[in-house]
Amino acid sequence: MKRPPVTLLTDIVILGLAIAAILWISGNTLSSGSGYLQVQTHDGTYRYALATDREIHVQGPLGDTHIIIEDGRAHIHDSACPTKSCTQQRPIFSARSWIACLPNQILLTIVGESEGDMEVDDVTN
Amino acid sequence: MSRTERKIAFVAAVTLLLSTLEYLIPKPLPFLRLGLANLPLLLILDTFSLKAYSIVLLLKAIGQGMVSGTLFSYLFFISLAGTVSSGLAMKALKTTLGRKVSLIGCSIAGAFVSNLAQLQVASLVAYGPSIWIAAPLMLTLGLVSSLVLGLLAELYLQKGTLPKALVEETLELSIPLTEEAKHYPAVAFASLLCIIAIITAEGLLVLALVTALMYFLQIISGRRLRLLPPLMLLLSLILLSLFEPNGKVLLSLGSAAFTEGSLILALGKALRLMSLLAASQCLVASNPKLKGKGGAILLLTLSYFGLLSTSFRSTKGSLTERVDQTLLRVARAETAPNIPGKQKRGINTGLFIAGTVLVSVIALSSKFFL
Repeated sequence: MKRPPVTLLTDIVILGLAIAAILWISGNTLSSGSGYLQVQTHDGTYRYALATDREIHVQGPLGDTHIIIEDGRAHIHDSACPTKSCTQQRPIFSARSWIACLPNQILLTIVGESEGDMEVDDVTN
Repeated sequence: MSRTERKIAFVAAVTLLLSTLEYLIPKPLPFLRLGLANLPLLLILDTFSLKAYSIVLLLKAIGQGMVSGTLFSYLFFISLAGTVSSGLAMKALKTTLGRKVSLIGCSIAGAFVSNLAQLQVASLVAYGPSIWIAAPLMLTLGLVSSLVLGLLAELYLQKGTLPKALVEETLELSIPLTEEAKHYPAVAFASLLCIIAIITAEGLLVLALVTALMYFLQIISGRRLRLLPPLMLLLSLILLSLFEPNGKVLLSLGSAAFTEGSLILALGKALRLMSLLAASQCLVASNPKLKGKGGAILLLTLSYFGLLSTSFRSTKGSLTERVDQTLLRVARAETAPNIPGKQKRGINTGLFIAGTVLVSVIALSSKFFL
């Protein structure tokens, strides 16, 4: 069966489109890992996906620390410490930013976030 | 049964034969599939009307569900989405472009759409959004295998005898005589109860107990237990849990970590899906009555498939020779000498119902006492 030459062209276009779509999807899935919140306490390390909104309670020597993950950002909502200064800190979402509640021995960091996504003020922080 | 309906059922049965054959071909990796069952779908693109084509698609998905026993589980939704979406995409492409597109182009487009649809449904019904991590690998493998499959289809369309025979209507497909297998309405009802019980069960220990019992019920129902699929399911869910950390870190590997909460979630999900699969096997084994026109054509498909597989077992030579011989033999109604088939044992209904009661009691007690 003879085929018109345009057939080869159509096939190549379809192949090209499929490869382009795969590259686009790969790029999207690999960069969409919005990172994880890591919580270090006196008794161990905890980790949570930033992509899902949730409320977390962890225990420090002084008592309960209440952490909230919202819209891909994490902050300390309340903590059993005298000054409550940790609750004043801005929500964190990218690598190298952190929140600590020193009296209750709680440290919040972000892991698994690619460095390229950092903002300028994250570095100057 | 009209000639078209017989043709539809026959082609659908061939897709079933090819999907069982796919297991016979040695593969370096279990998830690497050529998608042989899609070969007939490519070959009939030009000759079947949209309506006939859609019926073949449905029969293929439902037939595979009945042969593999996954018809009443989440796996059926995944396979249905893949088959129907890719089939319709290929048909649309071929109808609009006609001879301007080859079967290779159709095959690539179909595989791409199929994988996307399967990922989307898999993320909805079983695995959650983290399954998209597998997208690049799945789509790339699909691209390569669909290219090979499209090439095979083009070659076969030019060289093979059967496609021509199907088009030129020279083939008189006879209706095979098959005896009706026994129905077990009580087992079907009990299996449905099990599904409800599994969905309501809570807690890892209860789910593990329920899963063990469901495998026991599957053995009673006479369906073979297969170890690899549930193991793959368990493994993939545990791997995916790496991307949804939740709770205390148990083991940290670089930036990935196994966390207590997500492992418990993954195990629970795996156990629930495994027992639902076993329930689906029991439901299929109960041989539910197929009613109406759709039921009749499905029965015809399954009996063609039965003929094809017994006939295939009695052929000799290379795989392609055997497939060609089998198809011609069944199409021309030269049925293979009746091989003394494995006589199916009946289901012990009493024992099955006792098992169901136990599953329900355990599942319900987890709801009220834990």
